[in-house]
Amino acid sequence: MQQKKILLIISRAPYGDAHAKEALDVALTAAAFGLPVSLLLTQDAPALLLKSQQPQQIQQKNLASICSALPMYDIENIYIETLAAQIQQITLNQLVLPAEFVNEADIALMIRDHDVVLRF
Amino acid sequence: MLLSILIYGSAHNSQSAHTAYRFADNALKAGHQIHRVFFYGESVHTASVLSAPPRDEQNIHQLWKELAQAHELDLVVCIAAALKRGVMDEAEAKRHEKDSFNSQAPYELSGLGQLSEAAIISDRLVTFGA
Repeated sequence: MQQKKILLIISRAPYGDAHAKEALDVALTAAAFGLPVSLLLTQDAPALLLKSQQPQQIQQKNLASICSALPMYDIENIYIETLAAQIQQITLNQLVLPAEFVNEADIALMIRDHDVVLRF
Repeated sequence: MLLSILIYGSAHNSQSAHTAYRFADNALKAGHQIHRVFFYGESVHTASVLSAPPRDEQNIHQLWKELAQAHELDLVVCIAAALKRGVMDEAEAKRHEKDSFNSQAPYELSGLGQLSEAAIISDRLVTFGA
């Protein structure tokens, strides 16, 4: 089977709608199919990875615990838009797993470098 | 070119299923092939036979159904996204002990693996709505 690299870009906050959850489901399935998956969190999405989130208080499943399982599916390319992190004062040590900050130029290169780009 | 189409915009609150339909129709007319159409997120409501829009409005369920029948298209609806939104075929209704069902061929409920497979097989995966 031909290797195609998939980039998932999530830009919405984790619990306001189903997009982040449905994007993670796509990530896990694509990885199970052996496709290299990269995850980019922009705008309101970096909060998805915060250790301190407590979605149980609004009776929601904790998406950060799904995220912490991503490396087990060989999803290790996790990127965060620098500007979004700065605005929300999010630092790497607040996250459930290692991630890398990227700027707009990096993002443009990433989009060019992947065969399939899906936005959520 | 071998295309697959991923729709995840709302079936009735966005233009995405309709824009995707027009894209697919014209791609076929231009001689391209469509490997699969995958409905995800809010777009799964497209698969409901119970949708009954006013007569002077487009029926997106019917449009996709007719296009699929004319070209033997593979219309796959994400089963997890569909079930939680109350879109299910007879088999799933039975499995979940529901009294009725609202989806049938050519719409087919299946897993996200069908999306990954489409991404692998197709020359392009074209997405509509987010």
